[in-house]
Amino acid sequence: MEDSDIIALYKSGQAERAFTFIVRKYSERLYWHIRQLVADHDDADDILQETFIKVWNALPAFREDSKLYTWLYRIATNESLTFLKRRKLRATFTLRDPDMDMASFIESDPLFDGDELQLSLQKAIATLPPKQKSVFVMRYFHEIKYEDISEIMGISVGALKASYHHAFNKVQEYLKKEGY
Amino acid sequence: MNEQYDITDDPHLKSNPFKAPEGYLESLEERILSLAGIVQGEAAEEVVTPSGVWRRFGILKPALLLACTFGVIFGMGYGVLRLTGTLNKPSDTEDSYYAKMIEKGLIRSSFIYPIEEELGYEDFDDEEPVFDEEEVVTWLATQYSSMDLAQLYYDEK
Repeated sequence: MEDSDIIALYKSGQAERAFTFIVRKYSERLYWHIRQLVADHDDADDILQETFIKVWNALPAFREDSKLYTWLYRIATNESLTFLKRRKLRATFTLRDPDMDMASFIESDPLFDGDELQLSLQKAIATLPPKQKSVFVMRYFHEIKYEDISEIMGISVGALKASYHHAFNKVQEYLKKEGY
Repeated sequence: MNEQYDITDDPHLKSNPFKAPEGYLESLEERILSLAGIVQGEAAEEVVTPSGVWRRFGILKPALLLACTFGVIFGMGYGVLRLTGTLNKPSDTEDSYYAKMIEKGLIRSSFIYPIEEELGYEDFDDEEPVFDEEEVVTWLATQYSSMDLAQLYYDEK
C-alpha cells in the first residue's frame, strides 16, 4: 500500500486501519534503522515501541508538509538520538567510554552475525558522534536521498553532505588503522 | 603500491550484519498494535466503520465502562436494600432513641431552654398586667351609664 493511500485511509476516519498498515509497512525497516544506531536489540526494541506510540499519538497532528516515511524516520531517529545522549551521559557518570562500551558490546553480541571487516566497520561507526552516525547509517546502509535525510534530520542538504563526508573519512581512517 | 581500502567499493559491507532474535520480527506487528490498543484482526477488516463517532467512543470507552461499573454496583446495593425492606424500616440506632425521648418530652431538644431558665424568661410570661385605676374609671364612664354600673355591681354580688 502506498503512503498516500494510508494517509487517505486515515483521513477517511479509519485511524486504526491506517496505523495497522503503517506498522505493517515500516516496523521492520524502522527496527533495523534503530538497531544500527544503538546496536543492542533490547534497546532497539524499546525505542521502536516508543516510536510507534509517538506515531499513534501524533498521527492526528500529521500534516502532509513532509512525506509519511520521512516523518516516521524523523521520530525514530529523534528517539534514538535521545537514547544515545542518555547512554553517553550515564557512561560519563560511571567514568566509562561509551564508544568503547558499544564496540565491545557488538564484539560479544550473539546477535551480531558479521565477519571481521563488518565488525571493524561497526566499531568505526560506534566512534562517530550521534548525529553524524545517523547521517552515515541513513546514507550508507539505507541509501536514503540527501533531500529526504534533510527532512528527517532538519539539516540543510549542504550541511548533511559535509557531515557524511566527515563521517566517511573517520570510518575510512579507523579501518586503515585496523589494517584494511 | 598499497592502495587504501574503500568502503564504497564493497557491497558486502553494506549488508546488515545484525540479526534479530528468533520469531521477533514475525510478532513485531502484533506487539506494536497491541501496545496502541488495536486488535489486529479487527483493524485489518475491510469493514468501514463510522469514523468520528467510533473514534470518540473509543476514547470515551474506559470512562463509560467505569461509569457502568459504578452504576451496576449502586443498582445492586439499592436492589438488596429494597428487597430486604431496609429502606423503609425505621432504624434502631442511638439517634432514633434520642428522637423518641425528645418526642416524649423526657429530654429537651434545644439548648435554648436552659438559657431561658437561667435568665428567668418564664417569669415575664406569668406577670399580671398592671392597670391605672383612673384609666379604668374613665373608660367605664364612657362605656356605661351609672345605672348600668350599679346594676352590674349588684349582679356580681
